[in-house]
Amino acid sequence: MNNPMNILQMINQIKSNPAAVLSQRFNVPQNLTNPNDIIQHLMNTGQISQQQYNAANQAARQYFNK
Amino acid sequence: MQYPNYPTNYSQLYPYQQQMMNQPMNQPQQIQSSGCVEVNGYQEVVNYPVACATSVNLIDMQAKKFYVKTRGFSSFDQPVIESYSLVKDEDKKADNSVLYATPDDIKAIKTEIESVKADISKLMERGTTNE
Repeated sequence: MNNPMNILQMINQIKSNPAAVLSQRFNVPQNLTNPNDIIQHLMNTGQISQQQYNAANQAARQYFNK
Repeated sequence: MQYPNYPTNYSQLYPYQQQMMNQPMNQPQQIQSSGCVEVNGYQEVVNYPVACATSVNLIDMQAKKFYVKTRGFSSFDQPVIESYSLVKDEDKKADNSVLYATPDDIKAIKTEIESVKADISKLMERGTTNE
């Protein structure tokens, strides 16, 4: 994991196809494309909590409404 | 004379009873509620993700609406949305659409009814005398 080649490979993968990397990393089915559906799936699998999503949503709102 | 070391505390005699008392009671599964989230429009409420066994409070300040979105304990449960309207107390007091009769109005109506009754009785008397 600490191998710089692995990290570079991961960065290149994320640049080329970020959705696929996220799907692989968080076990999200490939057919889910809507962000809200992806978030719902992450909640159903217990990877994120409601409080975490609320906080992130509020932070994003404040950032984009500046 | 030295007496044997009898237990003075009964918990020493009944250790299992105290263990049962010290065990935490199993909490029934409850729906957790979070703070209030600001949204813009009902569609955003519908699209807002809600975790299982969770209730989220959403508020739309522009439309003056408050929503409570609740999801059951299973991931197959569809979320239930309750919507409420926000009404200021000052706006409620200014609402004069309902009118109530005052005692003076009732007195006036009563005297009018009495005068109409008197006229009717006079007319009836005239009718019977003319016959």
